[in-house]
Amino acid sequence: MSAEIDLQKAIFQALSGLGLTVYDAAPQAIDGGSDANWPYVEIGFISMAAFDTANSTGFDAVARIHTRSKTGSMAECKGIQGQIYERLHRGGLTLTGLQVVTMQRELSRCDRVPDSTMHGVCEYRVILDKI
Amino acid sequence: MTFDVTIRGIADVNRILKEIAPNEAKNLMRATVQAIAVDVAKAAKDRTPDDTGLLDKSIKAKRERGTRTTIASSVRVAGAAFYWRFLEYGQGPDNVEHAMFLQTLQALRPEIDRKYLEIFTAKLIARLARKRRASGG
Repeated sequence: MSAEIDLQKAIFQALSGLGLTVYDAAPQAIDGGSDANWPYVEIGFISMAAFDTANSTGFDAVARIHTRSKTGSMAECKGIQGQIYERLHRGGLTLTGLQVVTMQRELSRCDRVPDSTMHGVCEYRVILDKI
Repeated sequence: MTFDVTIRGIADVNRILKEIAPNEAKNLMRATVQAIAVDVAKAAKDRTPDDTGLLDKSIKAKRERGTRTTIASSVRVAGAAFYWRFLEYGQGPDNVEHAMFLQTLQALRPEIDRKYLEIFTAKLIARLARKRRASGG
C-alpha cells in the first residue's frame, strides 16, 4: 500500500474512533445538495514530500481535515476541531511499514461559507519514517 | 582603509559577517529571505487555477519589519483577489480544493536548505562585486 493511502486510512480510523462521521469525499444528493450526515469531517488534500536521510527514508506530509457543520454557530465546528486536536496533535497513528515521528497541528480556522454552513479547516503536519 | 580578507567556506563567511560587517550581514539576509519569498510567490502563481489573471497579479512577496533578531518576508494575496481562500480550501463554485499555497509550501520544504544556500551565495557574490566596483578595485 502506498504511504499516501496508508496515512489517509490511519487518519480515517483515528477520527472514526472518536465517533465522528468521516468521509473521504462527502456524498452528494441527486439534486446537487449534500447527502451527508451532518456534522461531518472530510479528509482533504494530503501533500507528501520526501524526508529522506542518509540511512532512512520517510515522508513529510501535511493532511488537511475539513469540518462541516450546519448549526449556524461556530461552536459545533470548533468543538469537533478540538476533539480532532486532542486525538491527533502529538498523537500516534496505526500505520503499516511506517512510524509517526511527530504529528502536530499547524493551522486551524473556521469560516462561515455562503450557504450559511460552517467550514473548519485544520492542517496537521506528519513526519513519517519507513520501518 | 583597505585590507585583505581570505574567505574559505561558509564558516568563514559567517565569522567575517558577524565580526566585521554585522550590518552587511543583516542586509544580505534580508535580501536572501526576500528572494526566497519572491520564489514562493512565483511558485504559488504557477499553481493557481486559470482565471482572469487577477489572482496571479495579486500574489506578492512583501518585506516585513521583523524583530531585532529575526528577518521576515511574507507572501500575501491582495484584497482584490479575496476569493483565493475559496480556491485554496475548496469553497469555490467548482468545489475543488486547489491547495495551491499548501502545495507550494510542501514543495519548498525539502528544497529550502539548498535554495537558501544558492540564493545566499549569489547575493554575497553580487554584493562583493558591487563593493569592489564602488571602491575602484
